[in-house]
Amino acid sequence: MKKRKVLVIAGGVRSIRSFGDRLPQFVGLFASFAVDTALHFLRSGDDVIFLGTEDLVARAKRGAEKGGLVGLNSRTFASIQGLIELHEALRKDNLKPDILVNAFGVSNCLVLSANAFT
Amino acid sequence: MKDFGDATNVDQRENEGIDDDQKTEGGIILPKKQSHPPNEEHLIFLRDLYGVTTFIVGFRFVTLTDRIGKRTLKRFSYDQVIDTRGNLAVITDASRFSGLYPPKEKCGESPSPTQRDSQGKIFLTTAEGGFVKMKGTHRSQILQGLLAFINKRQRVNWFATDRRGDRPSNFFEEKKLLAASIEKAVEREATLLLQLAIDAHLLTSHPGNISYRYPPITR
Repeated sequence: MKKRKVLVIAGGVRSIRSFGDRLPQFVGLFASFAVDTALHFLRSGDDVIFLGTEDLVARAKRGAEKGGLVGLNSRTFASIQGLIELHEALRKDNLKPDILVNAFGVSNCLVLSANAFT
Repeated sequence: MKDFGDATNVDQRENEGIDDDQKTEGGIILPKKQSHPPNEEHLIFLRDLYGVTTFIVGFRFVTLTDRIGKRTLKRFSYDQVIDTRGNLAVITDASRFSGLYPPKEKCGESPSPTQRDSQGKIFLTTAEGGFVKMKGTHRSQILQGLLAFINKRQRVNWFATDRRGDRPSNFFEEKKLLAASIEKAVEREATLLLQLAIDAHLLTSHPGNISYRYPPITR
């Protein structure tokens, strides 16, 4: 099977203010999910580009037994300008992803109040 | 490697308090406005950047600690898939997701059997509105299932049928169009025969009628 390029975008949870005291817990959850997903793709033989904070990239690289994971550091990614920069960087290296897993917190978290459904 | 973004923005946002400009809709407090573009814009932008060939998996995380119904989860995730032109959304809420990642567990390491938690559940929503529960109670099982699902869906070839500009969209219109074209052909043929009769001096005087039968009687 042809190798695919998988881009995993992680991080961005810290910028969600509404987490309050639960912030560390959610940061950990997202980080774990993103890293695990990236590693699973890597183990299934795909090339993985992992975009995340420095520590996340380091974690993902540690988990990648045989290597093959390209890490991109990003402290925050909460702007369209950031996305354009990423896109340009990837395009320069001809790294258009076949699959994009967006585990980026700001874009994906649906922040609801605690009594939203009562 | 290049470092994207500016770390100071994160700190600034983290230090900001909760604003009063939050909108409510049907009892649900919607995400408040932020200084950067709205969340959906980021997601839509991904599709614009990478085009239709990239399979985009979004992640919908409902931050409530109380478990919410599957129907509500489905609605949230389907809205995300449609609004952001994604291919798939992984949806879960805090109570379900926490079960997958018990505290103090290091990322990237395989959890021990004691760390298994039946609470860990995620659901997948497809662009056609399908809602699939990932089977398994162990996080590696669930991730394996997620990967298999993504692989399967990514290999699907989608086709769109283009309608020709002058082509009718249904059977009745098509039938009507066919009848109109036959009528035109008959008219053309009748005119031709009439002209032939005139040229051959078969019609010597003006009074009277001339008729042409369609379809011609076969003997």
